[in-house]
Amino acid sequence: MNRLNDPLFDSRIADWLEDDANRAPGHMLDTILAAVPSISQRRHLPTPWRFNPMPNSLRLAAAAVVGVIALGVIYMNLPGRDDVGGPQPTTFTSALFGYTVDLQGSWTVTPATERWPAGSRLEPDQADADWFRLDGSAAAIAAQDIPEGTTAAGWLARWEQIREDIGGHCFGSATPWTATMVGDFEARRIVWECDNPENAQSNWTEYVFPVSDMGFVISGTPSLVETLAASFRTP
Amino acid sequence: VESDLVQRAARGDQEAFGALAAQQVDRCYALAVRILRDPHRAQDATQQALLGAWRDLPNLRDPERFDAWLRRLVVNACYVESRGHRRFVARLQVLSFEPPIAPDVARSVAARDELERAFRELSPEQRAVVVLHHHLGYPLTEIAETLGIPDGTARSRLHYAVRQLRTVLDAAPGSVATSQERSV
Repeated sequence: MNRLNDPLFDSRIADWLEDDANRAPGHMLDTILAAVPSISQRRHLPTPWRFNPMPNSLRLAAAAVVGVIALGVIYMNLPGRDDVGGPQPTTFTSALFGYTVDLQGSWTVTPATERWPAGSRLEPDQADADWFRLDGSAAAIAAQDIPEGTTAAGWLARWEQIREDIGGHCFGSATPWTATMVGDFEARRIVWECDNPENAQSNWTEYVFPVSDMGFVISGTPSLVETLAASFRTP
Repeated sequence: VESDLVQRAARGDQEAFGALAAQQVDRCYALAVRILRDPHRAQDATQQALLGAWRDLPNLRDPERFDAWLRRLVVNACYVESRGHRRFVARLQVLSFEPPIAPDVARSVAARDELERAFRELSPEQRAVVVLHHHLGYPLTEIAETLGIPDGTARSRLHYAVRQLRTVLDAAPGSVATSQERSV
């Protein structure tokens, strides 16, 4: 018999768990119901991650980027320019990762200030990713060196393995990993299902793709990620 | 759970939510206390989950899924509670001043203490799967769906949790795993 499939052991765990309390303390319901009137219901889908306050250095960097983008927008709309149609996208070129994406005028960007270490995860608001924000939504682009001796396929497989236990505020995949393209690059795409005490339901999308010896990730609110992925390019 | 109550609560009907909460509070607490092994933190997690349910009910797309959705909120609240307290957890050894008890009873108490200790060594994610499977009796596919994780992840969490429990219990003096079980 497989020791991990042992009915005796399983029933012992079940018996032990059975002994715990089954009734909540009497005052709990009253406490909860007393708090309800003071809590507004949310009728929108918030972002999947909880954003911590930005450090001042990042605020300054973000402000500088916003300023540059604002100047760009003003320049693009100066009288005499023969633009036609709607607002023109500005572009953002990542100083650390070397890619370029198109931005709409109201996006804000917080550029990465540190390299993203190989093998590490992508965490909310960390300084080793470029962060893009629009109306409370967010997405990140980061790239890490593919370790010497690791193939692109190996790096992708490792990334998928890291992401299997996604943790944080997201608890699993809404879709399987699927093959796709980001620009000229073969990529893998997944949609994560995120759910936490602050968010009832909110998904986010992630693309991963190797570009020469770098492994790129674009991850965040689906609409932002799709827009970024659609214009992603490297020199 | 009547979906009518869920729909009314989602539209802001506090009375309907009160009825829902009254139906669910014991179930939520029972799940939380088994995962967290601490009645006070279980109360906090239950309150977080139910208040979160009230706040986010308008975003619940399918009222029929309310039970599973609330279960997930409870488990997630347990994760938050657990992570928030992890660094402050002290390993306390309780000194017993109980009068001597019969050997059988003592063995039983010791075995349960070992199980408790081993269970506390598991991650919150592993505990949740063990409780949902071994206490509530959900099959792994349903647990995976409830927690929003792949089937394989639910299976591996249970596998490693049970393996870890057995390892700890096998190593304990007066182990809960009997010699008969060991020979199987």
